[in-house]
Amino acid sequence: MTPTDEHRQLAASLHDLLSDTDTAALTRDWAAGEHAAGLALLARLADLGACGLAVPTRFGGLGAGAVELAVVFETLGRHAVPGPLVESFAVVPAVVAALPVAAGLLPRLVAGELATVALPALPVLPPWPPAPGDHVTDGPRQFPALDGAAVDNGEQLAAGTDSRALPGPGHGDPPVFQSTDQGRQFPATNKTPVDNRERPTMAPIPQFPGSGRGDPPVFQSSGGHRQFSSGRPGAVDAGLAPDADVATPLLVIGSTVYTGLVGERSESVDPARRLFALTPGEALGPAGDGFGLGVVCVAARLLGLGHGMLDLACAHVRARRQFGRPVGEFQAVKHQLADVLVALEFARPLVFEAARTLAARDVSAAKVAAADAAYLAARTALQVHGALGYTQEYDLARRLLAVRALREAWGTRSWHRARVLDALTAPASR
Amino acid sequence: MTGLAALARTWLAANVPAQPLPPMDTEAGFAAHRAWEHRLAEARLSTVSWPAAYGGRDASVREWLAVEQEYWAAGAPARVSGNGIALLGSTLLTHGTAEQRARILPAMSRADEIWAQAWSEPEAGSDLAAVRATATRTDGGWLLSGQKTWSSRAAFADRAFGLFRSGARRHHGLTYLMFDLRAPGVTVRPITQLTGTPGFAEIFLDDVFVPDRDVIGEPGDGWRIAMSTAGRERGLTLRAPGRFLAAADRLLDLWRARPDPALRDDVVDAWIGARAYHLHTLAGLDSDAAPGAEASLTKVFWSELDLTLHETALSLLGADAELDAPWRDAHLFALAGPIYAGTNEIQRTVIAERLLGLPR
Repeated sequence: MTPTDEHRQLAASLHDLLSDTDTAALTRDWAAGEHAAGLALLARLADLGACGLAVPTRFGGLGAGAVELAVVFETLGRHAVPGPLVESFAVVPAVVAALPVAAGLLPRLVAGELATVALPALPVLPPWPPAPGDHVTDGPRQFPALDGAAVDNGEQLAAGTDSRALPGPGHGDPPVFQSTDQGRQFPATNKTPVDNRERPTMAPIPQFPGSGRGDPPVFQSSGGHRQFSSGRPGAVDAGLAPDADVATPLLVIGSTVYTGLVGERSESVDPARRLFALTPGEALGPAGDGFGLGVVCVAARLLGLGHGMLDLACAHVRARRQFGRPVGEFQAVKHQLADVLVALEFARPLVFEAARTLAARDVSAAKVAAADAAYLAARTALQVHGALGYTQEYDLARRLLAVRALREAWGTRSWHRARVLDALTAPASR
Repeated sequence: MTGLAALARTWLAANVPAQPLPPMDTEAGFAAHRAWEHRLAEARLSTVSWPAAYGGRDASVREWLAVEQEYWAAGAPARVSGNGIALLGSTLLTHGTAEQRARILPAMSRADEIWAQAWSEPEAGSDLAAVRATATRTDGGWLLSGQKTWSSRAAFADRAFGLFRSGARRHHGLTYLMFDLRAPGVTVRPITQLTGTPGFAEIFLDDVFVPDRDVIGEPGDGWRIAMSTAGRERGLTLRAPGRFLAAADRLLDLWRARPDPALRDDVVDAWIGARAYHLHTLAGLDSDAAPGAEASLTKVFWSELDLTLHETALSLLGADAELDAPWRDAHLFALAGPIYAGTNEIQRTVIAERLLGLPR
């Protein structure tokens, strides 16, 4: 998948707009809960069509696809624009597109308003390696039966989304949670028994078809880099969603989308990512699948963040002189920066291929590569800046912190690797 | 799959030797690999991207990539003619005369002549423009004198190509020449590699006569021509993505046979890397950016991917790693990747200066 001229024009006009914007000051404000400058920028992005890019045309959007979104998010990442943009531009439109609420909400998003969403916890992928005798290379893969009565891992329970019930967003994507359709044995990380009694009554009980047992929903914010479980017996944890104080909050439990009731704030390593706990309010209907699309956009954003930091680093080492010459003349410095370019340039085709196919395997590969490349860019940019890069006021810090948060959000790198391997090594029958 | 790739798949399925050939850099192995090249050429699968007149099929780059993918997926033997085809062949197609192409390319495609590269010298490695071996004008041609080293395939090959100093100016005093490894005045001293076989050799030249028709391009223009060859070597031609896709598939097979949770991420990263190289290559075909410094990105990427992929395989093999011949040998070969075809240090400097615009 190669971006076309049209894509390049989109990126260029966005780049021009953002180059005229003091995104550093805007980010400082955003982190302080002052949203005026950010919302003003969103209005200008809306004029460009960026906000409604993936919104169906019947709601006033452009009805474009994941590739266009990836182009936009790479550019937004390069300028390190804060806010729940992946949620507003990509995920929420996919989640609510088939619901009555879409008619009211999506046109507002097209106009530059914000929405945010907490998605269900990610399914736990197969234990590795399979115990001797479990590994079956032919025929259906077998996993130890999940004994529902003995479920004692209060953490990381898969939301048993039945993917067949999900109205797809029209990309023909494979079910994102395909791995939950068989009971599997989870590594027990928390022995606290889970009591289901306080599950919200309107939430359908997620099912493992293989086990026939209900399991408690555990949420993961669309952005939060944590798994959400307090471990308190009987507690149904809230999902975390970024910027719920300035965006319409939604919550997905199992396969149902709810309005979100905003609770307390959690601190992210990135101060501009203001995470809020959400609990379910009114049920809105079955959720569309926006996870893969969201991951692709996050990967593109990471790619852009990485390039932005490489730009900063190159500019710095050209200007900064030591020992009578620019430090960029030293081979040790050159090589580190060359490695960053290598990593970013080889992550990009994975991101755009993922945008094209939205297949679980490709999406996860893109996330892994983009996260690793962006993190290498952050580390290297910091290194070649020296102490300057470590200061809060220098423009590197906000970018570095954004990467640090997104690196393990939307599925950790390890989770995505597990998903790639699952897709590659599972028998074709699955 | 294109028709050509399908044809290659069918032919390879019927013809790839069931048992691996003996190592290429032994006398018997070299002969066995030459015989394999003959068969490949009879099927006209040796140089599919070349014009039909020279033994090719006029295939597009995309078709060639697909054939390469089939070739490596089929587990076919390493190409003993690979350096000649990838480096000299493509140079002649761009810079050679019609006479040179007609005389040299068909014989190369059939492996009637197998070529060795003769770039490096004891004092000219990364700093290739420092070559000292000389080409001196004589009646009807040139006399070559001096020493080349690290010449891959030279121990058993027929002919060689390289740069020789014909003038004082550093970059503009170099001439690109082809010579016969069995000509009077040539002494080849094989060098045993850490694999135990002589994969390269020293070449001593003492007034070796080369006719004018074996100069490529203009005398003194060798550096520019060699750099276009170097770009190919570092880039795509020498190492098609199919090679790494196949290696990643073999790694996955190994994972299936002996999964180790501690290595899960490394296995996946190898697969992701091979796929990234494949997709990056395809994206490059759609771009009109000139190859050149971009090839340095490619060289760093594939050589380090290849090495980490094989290191992961060895880790999966555990105590068996010292015994498993295919993975062991492939790993030893991968170790050379960051060094040959321009060290990765040189590539990174090229990337930093020419792609990132950092000061020289």
